Amino acid sequence: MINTLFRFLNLTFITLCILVVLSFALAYFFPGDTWLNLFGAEFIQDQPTLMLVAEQTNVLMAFWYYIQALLEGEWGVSFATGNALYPEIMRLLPATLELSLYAITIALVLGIPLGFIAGMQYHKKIDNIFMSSSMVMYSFPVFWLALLLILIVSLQAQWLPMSGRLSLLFDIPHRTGFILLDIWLSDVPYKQAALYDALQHLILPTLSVSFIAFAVFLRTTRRSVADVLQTEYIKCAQTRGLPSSTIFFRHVLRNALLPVLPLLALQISTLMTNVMIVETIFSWPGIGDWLIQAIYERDFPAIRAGMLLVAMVVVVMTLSLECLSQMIDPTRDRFAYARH
Amino acid sequence: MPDTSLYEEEHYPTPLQATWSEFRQRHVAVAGLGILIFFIIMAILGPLLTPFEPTTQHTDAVLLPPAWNDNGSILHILGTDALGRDMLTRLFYGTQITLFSSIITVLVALCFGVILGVIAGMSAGLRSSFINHILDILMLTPTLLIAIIIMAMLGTGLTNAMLAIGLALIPRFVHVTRDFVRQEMSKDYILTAKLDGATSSALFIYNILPNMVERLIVQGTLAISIAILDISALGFLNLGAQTLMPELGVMIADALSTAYIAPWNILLPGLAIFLMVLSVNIVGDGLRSAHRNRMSH
Repeated sequence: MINTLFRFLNLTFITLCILVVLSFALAYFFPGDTWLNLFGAEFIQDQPTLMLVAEQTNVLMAFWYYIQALLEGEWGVSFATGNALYPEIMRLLPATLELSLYAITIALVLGIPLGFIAGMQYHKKIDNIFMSSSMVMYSFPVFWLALLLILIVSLQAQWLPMSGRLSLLFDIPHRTGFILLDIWLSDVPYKQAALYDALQHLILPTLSVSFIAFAVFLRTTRRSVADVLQTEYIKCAQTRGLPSSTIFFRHVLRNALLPVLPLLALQISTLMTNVMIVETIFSWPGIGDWLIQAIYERDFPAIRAGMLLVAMVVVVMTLSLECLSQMIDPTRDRFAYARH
Repeated sequence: MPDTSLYEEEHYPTPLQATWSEFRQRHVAVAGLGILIFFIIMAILGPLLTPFEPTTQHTDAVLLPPAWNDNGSILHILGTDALGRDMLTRLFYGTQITLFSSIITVLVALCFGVILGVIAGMSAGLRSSFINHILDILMLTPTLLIAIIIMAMLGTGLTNAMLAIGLALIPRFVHVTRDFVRQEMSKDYILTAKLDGATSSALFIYNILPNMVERLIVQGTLAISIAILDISALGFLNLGAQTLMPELGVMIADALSTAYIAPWNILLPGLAIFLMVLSVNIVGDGLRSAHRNRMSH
């Protein structure tokens, strides 16, 4: 256990270090002046000593200053808006996390049980229906799906709003950044109405992201259940005459869930891409929408900082899930890279 | 008289033939293959079939609905877009660009992935650890993020989008290759070849690669569907192919401003992407099941 945790921390640390080095190197690869790309124009004007340092030092010293600045929360200044990047990203990140969290929850809550049903009915009618519909579902381009939802639900039927997080009528003070939590914590008189409105805004983006994730989770679970059902110990349990509910809860459920977890960890990066695309379509004020705006504006400090943070979040989340799955099932040894 | 030439009479299918006969028994998979072949033929022959150019603007027929609509014209079967460009023509060219650029991306990624995978699978210690760390980061970073970084460095364009997606696809092939090579390296037939004095490269080319081809085909097919989705998504976000190019994602992005009065301009390119991805997925899934069935027999 401790060994696993140590390996996990080590791997996370190394990975984060590589990310920081990469983000530093990006400033050299981007067109334009390196120090300008790193911190933005206003930031350098405010700190003339930094400019002096930049002119006098070599790459290694520059990297050392970069790390110091990162740790102090000085992530530079945006070209486009002139705002400090760190607070801006921290304000946007909760919106993205909120969207991904709800989407992944819906996909898990629906996908895994249905995957179990399909797996238990392996190659029967229900399984075939589930498999073909999930195949159709995950072939959907996420941006097209989002546009279809907007066209049908928002424009034609006018049931749900098509963009943003909350109607402009409501003024909710910013606390955690998670809109539902913010409304819950605030003491405005129109709490109920605001909550209802926020939920209405959430439905379409969450649906478009979870649609595809759901199909992937269903298929993964179904495959794993089908594999477990073919093992000898299930056959043995069946010949011993155990009731099928006992077989399911004692043998199938746990063994089938084990390989699902690491496969889900691999889905996080795909999910993140989809969340970012959906954000731009629904004008969801999250980090994806912001990053894509940054690339249109060639806002290099913003791209560097946003990329660093999103990559860090994804890497830490994925590796934590890996670590969890390895602690549950010690026979998997994925962190042992140097061996073999 | 008993049949003496027993061995000559028996037909032993090669592994590929066996997989194909398994694949053929799945009607859905064959149908998917049919749709895919239809798209490929359309992508190749489409430009010859249509009388228009994808960029020609018919100013007398702007935002024409498809021919089955009352206001449609048989001249433009699938209607025209906001600039009066023929939809069907643009779909042909769009399919060509999206599908073929995806296939090229996957092929290039496959080559690099296999080479890296072999190095990772056959090496040990620090080198293996280093390769695996780098690949983990590549795999964990969302494709869109890689694309954004590459766009920031090199500028937008279809080639750069392909580069980004190729980079994101490489780890998949590396994983398949690495795991397979590791698994095979401990088997007896490799040991025999090793005792005969085969070098690592000879081991891979003559002994491991032939056993791996099928897996690579399955992975490559599934990767094509991802590449199609990603290339069109980048085109849609205006990060990949640029506005003048009739790429399917770009066409959807162009049609956004007239989405309310001309929804078919969004529906048709999206449907083309969807059907393409669906058929590739069905074929890939069919190939995977066929391969699995053959291995389990």
